[in-house]
Amino acid sequence: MTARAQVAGGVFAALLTGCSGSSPADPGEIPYDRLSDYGFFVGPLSDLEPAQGVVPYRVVSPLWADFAGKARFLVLPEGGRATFDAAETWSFPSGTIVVKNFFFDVDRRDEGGKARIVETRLLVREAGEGWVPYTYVWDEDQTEAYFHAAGDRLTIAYIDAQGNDAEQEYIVPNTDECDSCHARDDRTRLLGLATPQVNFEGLLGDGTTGNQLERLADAGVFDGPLPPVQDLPRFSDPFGPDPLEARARSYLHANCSHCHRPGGDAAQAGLDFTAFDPDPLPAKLGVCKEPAAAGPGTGGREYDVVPGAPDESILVYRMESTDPEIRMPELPIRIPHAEGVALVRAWIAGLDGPGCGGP
Amino acid sequence: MQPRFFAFFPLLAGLAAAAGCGDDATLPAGCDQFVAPSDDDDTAVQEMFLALEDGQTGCLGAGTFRFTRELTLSADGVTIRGTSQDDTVLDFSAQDVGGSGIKISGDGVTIRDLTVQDTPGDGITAGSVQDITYEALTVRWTAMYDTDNGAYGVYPVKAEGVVIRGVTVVGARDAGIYVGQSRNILVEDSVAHDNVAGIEIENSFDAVVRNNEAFDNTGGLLIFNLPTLETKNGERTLAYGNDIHDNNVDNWGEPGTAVAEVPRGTGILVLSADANELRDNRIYDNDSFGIILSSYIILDPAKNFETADPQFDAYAEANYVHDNVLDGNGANPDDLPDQLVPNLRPIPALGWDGCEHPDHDNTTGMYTNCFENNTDGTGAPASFLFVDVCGTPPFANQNTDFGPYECSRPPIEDPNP
Repeated sequence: MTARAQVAGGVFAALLTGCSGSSPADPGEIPYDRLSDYGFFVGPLSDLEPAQGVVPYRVVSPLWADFAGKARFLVLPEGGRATFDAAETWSFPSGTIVVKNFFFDVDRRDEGGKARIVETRLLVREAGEGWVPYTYVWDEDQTEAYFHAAGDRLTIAYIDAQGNDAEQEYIVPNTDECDSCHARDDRTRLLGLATPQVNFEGLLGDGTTGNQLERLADAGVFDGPLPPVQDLPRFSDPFGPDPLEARARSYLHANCSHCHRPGGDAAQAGLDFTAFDPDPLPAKLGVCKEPAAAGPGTGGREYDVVPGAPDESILVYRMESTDPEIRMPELPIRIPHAEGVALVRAWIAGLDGPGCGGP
Repeated sequence: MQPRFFAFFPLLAGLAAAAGCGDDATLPAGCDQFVAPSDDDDTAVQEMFLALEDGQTGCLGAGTFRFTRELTLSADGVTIRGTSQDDTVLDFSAQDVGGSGIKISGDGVTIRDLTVQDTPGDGITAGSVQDITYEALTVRWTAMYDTDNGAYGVYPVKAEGVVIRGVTVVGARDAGIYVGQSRNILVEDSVAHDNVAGIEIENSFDAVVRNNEAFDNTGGLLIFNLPTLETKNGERTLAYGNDIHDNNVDNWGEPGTAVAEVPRGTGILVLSADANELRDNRIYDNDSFGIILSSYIILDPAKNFETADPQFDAYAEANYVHDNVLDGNGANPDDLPDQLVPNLRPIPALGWDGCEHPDHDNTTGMYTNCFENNTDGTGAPASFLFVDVCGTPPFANQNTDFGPYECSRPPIEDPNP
């Protein structure tokens, strides 16, 4: 693995020992012990100021993660370029690293103000292996993050919207659990770096405004020119100005379809929450679909989605639950997403029906 | 594990101490990695699972391990082994993260010689894998018929090559031993009791279910095809040598699930599934049905399945039921069978709902369900009921003449006799 040396500004990890064999591991081998060893950022690590060649980006429809904000970066190997695809599968050269930092606002009355970074997740494109996930947990001083494979649970202190001291638990996934979202058809996939997720206009990862896909192209990410972005697929901002159905489909895509689609971790359920098809078979979105192996996840309700009746819909029940057997998505969510639930409720309430017939 | 404020695990020391290194001379025989119970089982066991290289064996020592989150296992060809079912207990009663106790995604995994108990969700799941073996293990919930119990004990789904051998499951709120949307399956020498469904084969192909015991469940053995799932219209379960008895526990399944519709007192229920063979089983003292073959119409009389899943075959056809001994069944039926069969007590031991696929031409008899040489405890022919759910009007021609269905079909060959 040589990607390490291709990242600007890095130094080799000093030591890496462990259990992988009787001799010490190659100190130049990813995963490094410390996040700083990769050299992604210049200046104080917690400023997340990208080094040259580290490209920030945002997605239009993020996965809800218990109030965590996310700072995303793409790092291509020296001279490497991605091959564009209008759908969702861009091709990246070996040595590419996708970086996602998870942080919490210290004061929730001041969104975008002072934040505490808790975790950095990497997907590294390794020759012969595809994308491989690694997780780093930040120290209390915000000076370093350390490789951490087995997952953890952290307590996050913050000041709530009313100005009171509060805290929440935050779950760091183990590296297998990364694949519970990112694997499809037995291969680890990127979810955010896909055309419809970055083909949007608005505030971009670098703090400017414009079209995120064009901005990536301007940064030299692709090995050829893009088609006109207005001709390319795009998802809606779930909380933007687009029509309700488009926003709900976008939200369900980002929060559900990584498992609930053909080839996904929950393909057996027969749902497909991807937002590519504008007119899917209703049962693919759960409309009047009976549950598969939901167990108590049904909450006694008969169908995943009952048009016009959010309170009779299993989908809403599972989004609102905090019980690990019931709640969706399964990982690693502790706190239901009030705005997301409201959006899905509104979408169900507006579906033609009412009801699902019945005996 | 106690919540920690940004404390991070001292990684390298932890790996060496908790997981043990592969070249450690103190490892038990046959173990590439080993962990004993500690004050942080979450981390120690998960780190061992992550450190296992393809083909290795990870061993769990004697005692009780306590977990607060799901364990995941992604390496291929590995074996996870406890000391024995009695001695190595994985307790998930404090779990609050993850939908399963152990979630397996690697191919060729064997898990054995341990007990998993009190998971809030499913016990041991394996999704989209090639070859998964559950052997000599127990999954149990220690509270009887508790609505907080998890849904499934062992739960392979979308698997090719499933072996469940010497497994005991107690207390599942859905199916104790479940196999869904899978192919090439062997369930043998296993026991399921005090679950809603004892053993369930769902939307699967080529299962052999032999020499198991299912008792004190709501239903003993279910062979189901359900609509709107990804893998559809399963076929060819061969069930023989099973003891299916006393499955008379009130249904405590979650309303809204298919299994919650299973009548108390069901021995074997074939729902919507075709080309199965049930032979040489002992089925006794189940209060509603001994063996009942039914279409999905029994659950969905309005046939909403026709629009929800046009590819779904809702009818139980071309099944072969022979040489079973059925005794003492049908004496005290649950509400649904009581309504379906108001006039006969006990309800005959064998039954077919009588619903035929409207698009199937059965002039050759290729879709007929055949019943042959089934007996009661005295050796007399077992009783039969044509339920006539789909008659005009329904039940008008309900009768006990099994003459039209006394026939044989080519047997299913057990690939591993």
